[in-house]
Amino acid sequence: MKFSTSKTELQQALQKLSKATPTRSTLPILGCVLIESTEEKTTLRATDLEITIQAEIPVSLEQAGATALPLKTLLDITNELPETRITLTVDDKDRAAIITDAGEYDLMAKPADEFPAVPDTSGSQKVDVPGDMLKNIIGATSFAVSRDELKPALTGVLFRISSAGITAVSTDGHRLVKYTRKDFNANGFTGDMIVPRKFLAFMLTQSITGDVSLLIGENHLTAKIGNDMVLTRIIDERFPDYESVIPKENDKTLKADKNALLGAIRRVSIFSNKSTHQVALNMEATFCKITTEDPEKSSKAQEQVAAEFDGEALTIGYNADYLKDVVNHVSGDKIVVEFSTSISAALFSSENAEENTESLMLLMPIRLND
Amino acid sequence: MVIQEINTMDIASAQANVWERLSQIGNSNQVGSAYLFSGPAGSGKESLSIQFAQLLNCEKPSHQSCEICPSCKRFQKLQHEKLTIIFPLPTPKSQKKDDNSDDNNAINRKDLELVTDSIFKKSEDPFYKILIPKANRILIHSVRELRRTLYFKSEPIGRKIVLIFDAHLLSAGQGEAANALLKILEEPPGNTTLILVTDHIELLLPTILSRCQRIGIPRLNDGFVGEWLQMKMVKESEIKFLAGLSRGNIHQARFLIAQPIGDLMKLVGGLVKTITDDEPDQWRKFTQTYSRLAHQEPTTISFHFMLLKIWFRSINRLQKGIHDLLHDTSFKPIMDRILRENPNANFSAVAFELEEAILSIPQNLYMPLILTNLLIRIQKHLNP
Repeated sequence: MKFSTSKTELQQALQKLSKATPTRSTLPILGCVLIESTEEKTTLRATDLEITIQAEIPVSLEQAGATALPLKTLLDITNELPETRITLTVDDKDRAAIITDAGEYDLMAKPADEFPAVPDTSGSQKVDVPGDMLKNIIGATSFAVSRDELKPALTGVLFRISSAGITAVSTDGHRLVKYTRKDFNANGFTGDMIVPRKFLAFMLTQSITGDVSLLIGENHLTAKIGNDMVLTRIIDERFPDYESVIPKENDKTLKADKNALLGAIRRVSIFSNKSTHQVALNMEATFCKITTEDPEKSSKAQEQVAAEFDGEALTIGYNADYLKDVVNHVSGDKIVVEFSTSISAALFSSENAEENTESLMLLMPIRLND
Repeated sequence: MVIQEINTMDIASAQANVWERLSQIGNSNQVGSAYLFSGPAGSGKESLSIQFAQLLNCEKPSHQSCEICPSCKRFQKLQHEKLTIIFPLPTPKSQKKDDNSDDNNAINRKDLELVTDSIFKKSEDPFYKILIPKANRILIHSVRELRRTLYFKSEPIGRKIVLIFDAHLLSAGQGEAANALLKILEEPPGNTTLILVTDHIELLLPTILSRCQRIGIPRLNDGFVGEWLQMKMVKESEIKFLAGLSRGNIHQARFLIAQPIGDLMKLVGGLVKTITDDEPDQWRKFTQTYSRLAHQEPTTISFHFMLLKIWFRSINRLQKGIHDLLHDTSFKPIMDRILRENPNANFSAVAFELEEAILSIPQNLYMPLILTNLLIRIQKHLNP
């Protein structure tokens, strides 16, 4: 195999691929990038067996071929080179050479057939989604994904796609987010899939202009962004029946300015206990008082925010970290919180929901020490 | 590559009965979700488990895997995407999990090179035993990492395979790794087979045992060990001696070929003389030396006693007229002499006493007393 390419093109592709390269794997081949050069195109691929990233680079091809090279070494040398042309050659004994104006660097490659085979995506259903919509859906839900590997179904976001749009749901047992987009064109596809956190985190970091083509398969979800491709394995578990845990009869409503409430929670929570992160919301007709107390450090704090509360006075405790996350993810300026009792789930939403969008967040309270 | 072909071909033929059963399972549509390969140390259990895993993923399977399809080639290198190998690892210094990383937290960065090197050696030689320094248990991190990755959907072709070597070390410490694994065994993911491999089945939790199909693996025959020694360029004249002392344990054979053979013969001969002769001075020296060794080098004393045990089993077979490889070595004249001097001796009981002594070494007992009792009891068995 022999081709030459620009340093910047190679560097950008390798940087993207490094997100799918495990640093502590017992499969050394996963530390490599698979380079496949044909007359049509040259692609670079990396995988950690959960996600696979493939990027295409423009090259001047002299001889087609395929090889696997250590990604970190290739990225390190590319980072250190000035802007120049890089020629990459690999002989039939897997001896690779990186030739530049600055010098020549030799290293050993691995046979391409040792690299994991690319998953079969034939038979996948294609759905085109605007990039900003996809990022909105992911951004609204991925923060509540569980990190507990004992509950595999909760370590991803459930995407429920139908002709009515898409509903994305995530939960870690303490909080639950349900985000619906009615303007999602499913192109006739109907079904559920649980998409792992790593893929979602990667997609959030990508600058996407235009549409993303999603290829939804039996075992994999593939996103095509321009000439790049990101593929993830889907979680093979049944997502819990989330509708049954969303309360329908919360009769007390709090309306407040989102940023004022969030700011107050952030400031007060600084003085909360470092292990429980407990804060309390004391709600009266015209205000909401946020309080915390840490007897261990003899510290306490309180702050009052103007609000409209419709119902009997109520005091409810929350983990401040969860509360901040949930309030922060409410869109718009006005937040609406629906309560029932001090020990039941509350529902957080925006007073002015965006068109074609429904967003609902559920947060479980914690029992306050009297 | 040549070495690997010899090894892999031989293990299936050396354990022909076991392989026949595994091959039938592999070629049926009734592959179980969990198997337990148990048997004596060095009997090729790990090698068989790798072969079985390869067969389950072979693209053209028959009685054996084809060895040439892309899946087989990746299995030979232990670099298959559907293969996860779990083995004891040192406890990481910091137990704190990096929440932003999905890397394998079970492996210390400094141990990673050693781990990958060990896996490479294992792929080159299936009888290579992966032993990472300071690794005395299977970490719960390893089982958690497994749990995280096992529940992803995968291609329907082939099976996801999890090999757990030294599975009895799941129960080490508080047994948290065993309990975490139990959750997977209770609700096994589809199209997945876990193979637990152990020399010490008695140390596994009953709840784990009850969820695995057991495959008992007998010790290797002397002929196979002899062939293996031949492949390792051992001199023809030494093969019977080393194969006899190995007793079907390939790990022991590997250890023995690293020792100077003359020293081994001298060691065994000297020890036999000491414990069969009724010489107080020699007994005192023996007790003092081995009490110190039990404290400072427990593996050395275990090795010496194990050699003695094998020697006494061999003389027991000679007494009963059953052939043994050690009868074809320079030990034969010594055995004949001792048989003449102790015609009514119970050599089987002597071997049993030595086994008991080996088991007492890690128990922090008062060794001078244990060793003195051992010598007295051996004398009683020699002259009943």
